[in-house]
Amino acid sequence: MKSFEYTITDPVGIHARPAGILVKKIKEFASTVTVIKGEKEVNALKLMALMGMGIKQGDTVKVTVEGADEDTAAAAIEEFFKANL
Amino acid sequence: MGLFDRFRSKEISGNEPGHVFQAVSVIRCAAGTVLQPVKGAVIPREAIPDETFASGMLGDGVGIVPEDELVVAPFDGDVSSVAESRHAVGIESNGMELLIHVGVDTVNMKGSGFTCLVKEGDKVRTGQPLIRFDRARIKAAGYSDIVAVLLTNSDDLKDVQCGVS
Repeated sequence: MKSFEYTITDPVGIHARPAGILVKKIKEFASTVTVIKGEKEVNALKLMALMGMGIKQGDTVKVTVEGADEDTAAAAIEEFFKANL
Repeated sequence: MGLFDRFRSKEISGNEPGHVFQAVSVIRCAAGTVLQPVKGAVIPREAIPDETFASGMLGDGVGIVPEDELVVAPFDGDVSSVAESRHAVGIESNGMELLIHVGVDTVNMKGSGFTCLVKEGDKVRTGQPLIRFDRARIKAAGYSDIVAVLLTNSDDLKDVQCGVS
């Protein structure tokens, strides 16, 4: 399992558009991606659950990536967070 | 098959006097039927003026050009998420995960012009008011007020049909 932490810089946090783009990105990989904020964790493919976490600017989330392609997936997804969130 | 599979439309009266309209079904699938959650003309998903919605990235569904300022529950279900900026709500029922998103880029209004009438975890009945919105304020902010109604897990659902039947 790979993981990284990221602090959201997007002023509106993880809302519909970035969540949708994130789900699309994750679907390129076989690994399971989990987004964790405090006590809450969701499978990042579950769009509604992800949006329901209410992740805002300044929040730090932990992202775990687990699966056969976790090395490439984790790198790509971390890159996505930096570029879009 | 849910009860609403028998309906092509249903009179929605909400809980508010004077708020009555004939809601047509806008999405149908094996798991159930989604009635239109706001009064107005139903347009294809592809015609929603936002690439994220139009492309289907957030799931299949329709757009509605609102003629009113009240979003009501399109089926009996559970409120799964409420956007902090009060412009969007998620409802679930029988495996259907539905996103109702009022306007395009309205997240930037940070809740101004929107009143959310439910909270996460609430059970709602068809026609129950969910979000009240101010079309004039959305227009003044320079955004489209088209309401996106999308089954975010449409890929996992069977026999999804969108549009007015």
